[in-house]
This record gives sequence, structure tokens and C-alpha cells, in this order.
Amino acid sequence: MFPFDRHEQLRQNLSAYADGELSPRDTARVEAHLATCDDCYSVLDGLRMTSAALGGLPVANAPRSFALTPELANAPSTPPASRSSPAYANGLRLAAAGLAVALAVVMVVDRSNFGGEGDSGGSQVQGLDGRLSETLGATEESAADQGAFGGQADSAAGTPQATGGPAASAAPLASSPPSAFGAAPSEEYPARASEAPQPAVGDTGGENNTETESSGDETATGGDETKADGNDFDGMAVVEVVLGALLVATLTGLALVWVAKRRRSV
Amino acid sequence: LDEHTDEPQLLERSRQGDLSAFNRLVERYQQSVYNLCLRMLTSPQAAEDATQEAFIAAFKSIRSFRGSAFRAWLFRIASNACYDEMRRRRSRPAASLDEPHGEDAHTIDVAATEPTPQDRAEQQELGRLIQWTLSEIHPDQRIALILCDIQGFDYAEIAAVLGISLGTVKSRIFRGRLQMRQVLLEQGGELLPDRFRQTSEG
Repeated sequence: MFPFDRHEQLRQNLSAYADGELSPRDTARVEAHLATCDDCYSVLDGLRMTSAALGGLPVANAPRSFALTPELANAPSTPPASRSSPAYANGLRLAAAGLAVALAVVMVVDRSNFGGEGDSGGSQVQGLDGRLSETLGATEESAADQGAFGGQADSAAGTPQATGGPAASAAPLASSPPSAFGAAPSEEYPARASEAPQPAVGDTGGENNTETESSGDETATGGDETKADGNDFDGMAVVEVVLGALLVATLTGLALVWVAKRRRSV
Repeated sequence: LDEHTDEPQLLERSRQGDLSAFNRLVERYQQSVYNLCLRMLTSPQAAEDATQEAFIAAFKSIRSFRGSAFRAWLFRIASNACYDEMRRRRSRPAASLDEPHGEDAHTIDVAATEPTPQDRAEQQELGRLIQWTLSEIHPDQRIALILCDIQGFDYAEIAAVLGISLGTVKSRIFRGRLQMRQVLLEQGGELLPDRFRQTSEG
């Protein structure tokens, strides 16, 4: 073994030596080396200094009592910042799902428009409806997710005006949810998210108002009715409803992400 | 020492959800946990938050604690709380760049070991420099040094607290001290080495 290696190896033991953490054999080796190596001796000295400096730091008094109140003991602990908070993850999931389904709907509609006129083929409309109700099923699932997340989906039905106002036309939909979310405490988002499709439904066009309003509570019912009414229901209106709902879902998801980010940094 | 004889009973009652029993343990350990967090995080506010989080987390997982090394178990939770707090503060952009130097200087209690105000101010200055130096080294080395030199754990206990091998403990402490020495010598000016030599001999 080269002397330098040995020196280096012993050097790395100096700190443990200073702490009395070496075996008697290694202790003897280090001491033998220290007797001949000034460099190592001064390093050892420096290590002891820092050790003593740290040990000499004053002990701070606890600034207050950290005894737990029942509230603290039962509160959900703050999630570690490293992991995504559930709100953040759910928001991302919701946004991604909303975007994906919206894309699928657009593609389906695109294809059926390509195939023939809206009012001509009953089978075509039927097929479109079938696929639509599938996608509606998906929306229902995500709505159920939201309900489970916040547990307030029921109470949402009580306050349709809250979002009915800003959602009077399709365009404000894009801007109104974020501002509403910005002001509201997080527990309310899911409720608003599941109520949000209502204004979108009510908004879809004069002639369909009665039908769609009656189906406003559950998107799934809306899907069934669409199927039953078949031809005289305007397919494009359904598409708009679905797209509106998906847009709301996406925006809700993004808003959740945004809020989660903000909360983490507060 | 006799104040620790009732610890098994307090632990047992805590395991059964007795909050008042647990709070007696909190009162017993809060100063050392707070000091661990303060040395780890430098900022008193961050240390306060981490300390509280640590005790909350400890109460929540007290059922999973077996054995007698409660202090080591608690310090493991506290060191995790410090890492969480560091991440939390890092994700917050504006907070902490100039914190290490100033803020805690007023808040850290200086033990009045030396009588004259001059010595006291010097001591305070030195303490601030050491704390700053400590904050400059890697957190993994920092926590090992704190446990070793401030909390007085031996290497085996540190290995248990941090869940790392003895060899890793040894090298973290060695490298941490080397680096601290380096920074102290660079930053400390002429006065410090003398003082250190006195401290290390005394």
C-alpha cells in the first residue's frame, strides 16, 4: 500500500478517533500515524475545534409549549412538500381527463359531421348519441370523483344562482370559474365543479331549454333523454353541453392545481 | 434521571391515546427537539414549525413505537420534520436567502456562562458564526454533526436515528467537520482560531 493511501485512510478515521469511536486496533494505528504526521495532527486539531465549537453553542429555550391541543392531535398532518398534495394530484387528473375526453368528443363530432348532414341519417345520430352517452358516462364518473373528493355535491343544487350568473354565455365560462375559485375556500370547489355543468346546460340554446333543464341535475339522465328523443334533439347542442361540462372540468382541475400550488407556498 | 422512570408508563398511556400523558413527554423533550430543529434550520420560526410538526407526527405514530429508545425515535421524526420544512421553505421563493445571518441573532438565548457584556457579545458573535457555518454544509452532514456534537449521541445511536450505516455516519461526520473547519477558518478572521484552540483544549 502506498503511504499516501494509508495517510488518506487514517485521515478519514481522525474524526471518529476524536469521538472515541474507533476500535482499539484502529485507535493504535491512528495514534502511531499522528506521531509522525504533522499534517494529520493539525487536521485532528481542526476537527476537535469544530466539534467543541458546536458543543459550545448555547442551548435555546423552547419559545413556547409544544404540547398538543386535541385539535392539533387530531388534525391531518401537513403533507410533506416533496409529495404532491391530493388536491394537486386530483386537479391534474381532472384537468387531464377533461382535456382527453373533450378531445375525443371533438374527434367524434368531427367524423360524424364529415360523414353526413346533421338532420339526415337517423342511424348516424344514433351512433353519435351512443358514443356521446359513453362519454357522458365518463363525465358522470369524474363528477362522482369530485363528489367523493369534497362530499358536498348535494348542497350544490341549492345554489344554482351562484354560477348561473357568470355563465350566461359560453365565453364567460372560460374566465369566471378561476375567479370564483380564487375567492372560495377549497372545500367548495368540488361542489361548484359538479354544479357547474348546470349553467352550461341551461345555456345551450332556446329550443332545448325545457328538456335540458329537467335533466340538469345529472348528466347521466341527460344522456338517457338524448337517446330517447332521438332525432328532434339537436346533436350539436348535446355536444356543446358536453364540451362545456368538460371545459368546466378542465378549468376546475387547473384551478385546483393552481390553488394547491399557492397553498403550498403560503 | 429519576424524572425518566415514569417514561414507560407515559409511553404506554400515550399509545392508548392519552393526550395528557403524551404532553408530559412533549414538555420533557421539547427543548432538545426544538434545539435540534433550530440548529438544523437556523430560522427560529422554521424551527418552531418543525418542532410542532414533529410532535404531531410522533403522537400520530406513537402506536408503532416499540422499545425504550424513545428519544432516538423522536429525533428521527424531528429530523424528518426538518427535511420537510426545508423542502417547504425551498418551494417558497422569497423567504430565506438572507435569513441565516440575521434573524435568529436576537432570538437565540445565550447561556450566561460569561459575566461581562463584552465576553457575552463575543460569545454571541461566535455562536452566530458557528450557526451560519453549520447552515452552509450539506443537510445530511449537518444533522449528523448536530446529533453528535450538540445532542451527544454516539455513532451507533446516530446510525439508528438516521437509518444509515455506521460507516456512513463516520464519513458524514468527518466530512461535515472538515468542511465546517474550512468555512470557519475562511470566515472567522484572526480571532477565531485562537478562541477555538482555547475551547478545544479547555
